[in-house]
Amino acid sequence: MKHDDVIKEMNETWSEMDRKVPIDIPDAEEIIHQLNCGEKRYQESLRKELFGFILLACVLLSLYIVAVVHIMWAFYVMQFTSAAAVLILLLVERRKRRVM
Amino acid sequence: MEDAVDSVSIENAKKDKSAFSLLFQQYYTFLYRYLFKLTMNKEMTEDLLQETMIRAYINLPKFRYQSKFSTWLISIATRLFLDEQRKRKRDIKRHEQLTENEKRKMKWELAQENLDWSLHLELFSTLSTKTRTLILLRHYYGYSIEEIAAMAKLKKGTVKSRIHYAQKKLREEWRDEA
Repeated sequence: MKHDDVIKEMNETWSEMDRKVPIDIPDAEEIIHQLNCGEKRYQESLRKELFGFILLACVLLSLYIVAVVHIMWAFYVMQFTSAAAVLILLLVERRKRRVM
Repeated sequence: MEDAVDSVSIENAKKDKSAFSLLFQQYYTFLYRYLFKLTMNKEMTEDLLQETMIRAYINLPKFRYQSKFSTWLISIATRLFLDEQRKRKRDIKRHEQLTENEKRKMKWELAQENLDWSLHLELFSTLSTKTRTLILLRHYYGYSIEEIAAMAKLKKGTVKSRIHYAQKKLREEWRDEA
């Protein structure tokens, strides 16, 4: 990697910053406390996400039932849409590494 | 640094919070310095560092030694920083470069730590958030284009061209100022 003058001087500025900035490393107990709070927050956000998903699924299912009962061709369209939705959901979850 | 932390401590940290806290303490300074260079703001650095720690703890069981542990941590911190910037930008609908107000705040923060706002920092602050991150990772931390692309979730070509144009811009402005 070639470094020109600008980058070299910028790196010197960063090195100086590294030397001068005071850092207080939290003790183990504080880290554990932060982890406990963070974990709770994370679980809460997961719960909200799941709740939102269930709500959306319920709304879609209601629409699905209403449509297939009243319109014949809607049955096939809805079948296709459902299959596509499941596939997209699986791909998204796979990207998040929640499923293999 | 990496040699000091063996897989045993990482494996222990996967099972036990105390072991994780000891492991994270070893990387605290490294991550703090990195995030401070990006944010130049003590409060924001500490918030991001805390969030990085939580994400790292939650995702540690998925760590498969495909990269160095420090690289893995810096990836988490980078993504969190970029996400945070994206959210902020959406909130206040500002343009990519730093506003005068933010620069003033940065200068003040640096003055608090007895650091000068040099011409290099001035030039660096004219770059967009993403480009600043890429330049820092490439030239100060020496990560490869592939590693940076994975960290910032960008294509290799995009990383290469962004770094190239940023360097060009820095060089030109440096020449004008000098």
